[in-house]
Amino acid sequence: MKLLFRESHEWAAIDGKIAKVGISDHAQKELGDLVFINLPEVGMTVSAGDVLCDVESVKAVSDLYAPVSGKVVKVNDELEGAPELINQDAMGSWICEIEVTDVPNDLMDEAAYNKFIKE
Amino acid sequence: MINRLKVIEAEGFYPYKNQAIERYLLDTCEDGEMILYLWANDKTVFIGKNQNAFIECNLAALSRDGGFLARRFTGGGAVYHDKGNVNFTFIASKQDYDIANQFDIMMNAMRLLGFNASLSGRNDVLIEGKKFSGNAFYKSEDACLHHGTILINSDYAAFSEYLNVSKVKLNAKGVKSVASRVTNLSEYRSDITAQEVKESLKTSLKARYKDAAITTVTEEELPRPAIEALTRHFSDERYTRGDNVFYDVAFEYRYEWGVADVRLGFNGSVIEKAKIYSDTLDTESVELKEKLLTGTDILKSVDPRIQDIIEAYGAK
Repeated sequence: MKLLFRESHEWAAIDGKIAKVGISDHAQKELGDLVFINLPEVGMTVSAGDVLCDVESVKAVSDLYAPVSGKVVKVNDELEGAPELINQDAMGSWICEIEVTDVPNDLMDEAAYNKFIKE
Repeated sequence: MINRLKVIEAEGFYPYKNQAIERYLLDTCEDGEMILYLWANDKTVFIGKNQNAFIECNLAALSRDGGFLARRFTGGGAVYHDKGNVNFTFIASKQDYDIANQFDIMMNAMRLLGFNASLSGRNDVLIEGKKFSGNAFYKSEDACLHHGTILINSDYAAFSEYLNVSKVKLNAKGVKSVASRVTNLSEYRSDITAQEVKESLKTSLKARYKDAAITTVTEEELPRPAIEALTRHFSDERYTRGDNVFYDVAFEYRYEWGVADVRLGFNGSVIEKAKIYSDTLDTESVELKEKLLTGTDILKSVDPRIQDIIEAYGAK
């Protein structure tokens, strides 16, 4: 399994053809308490960098971006009534699974991402 | 760094067109630009992006009185707009967007008018402990937006009439509104006008960015097809009523004359809410189907007149 991060703070845990996608702990802190999540639709095709879905926190409505290209094959319905799970455990709360067709080369590994957010 | 200011004032009070202009400005915002958009709506219940319109608003009373239901693309709770209210929108690219700075511009504008405003929490601006301005925010990778209301001499008491007081217990999804103590600026200065407030916001913005070039844009200068398309989007019932928030499933159903767009909300296997969007002129038959669907337990025997819709759902 390979864990990669996008500059806009989404992560992709890639295992073979499937990537679980979520947002980083840093992103969850920046967003503040989440009150709503509009999950992506199963079956939709995204290119890396496309808007994947959006979340509403007590601070703002924010778009989330697809870290990889591919097709959304599964969404985490558990989050629908309980977006606060992301605040509690951002790295453990996957939002959707994407069947990967392309991984852009500007994604960062965990060490590089941790350095990036400190800058 | 912000080196260009763009100021635009809405000319009409039609909420969906005003929203369309706002969205257009957001989508076309360039680096180095700070956009200030000033607008007002006629009689509108303006709900947050992820709110349930049916819970937040007494839609029957609102439409009876000729009011509008509009949905923001920003979060938060329901507010009431009328011509006694001015809305301001700040738009800037991600690196120039700064909520504290924007609030500062707004509060300075209030100070110039003699009001002693203070910030409360993340969203509200108060005068003597009462809220006269609610604010909401949107962030994308390109441009960000901060907009807020300013109550001047709004008939916000009318709002309470449109608030839903449904006794029905709905365990629906969606963001709930929070009530707060509200006031008009006219309570503190009876001669205050919307125009004065708008001018003061412009003055305060210009004072903040003394060296920036200013352009004033009129509605006519915006591309009509784009504004019209966005106006259609914001006025579409499927958007304002928020079917994506409210209904559990959406699917297409082909019948002999065309295609209908069906939305169903379930409680277990029982259909609690049904809405059919179709361009058929036979609205009576559509309404009948909606009525028959509501309350149907799809696991039990189904009225033959809606059998085909249930099958279309099953095939989905």
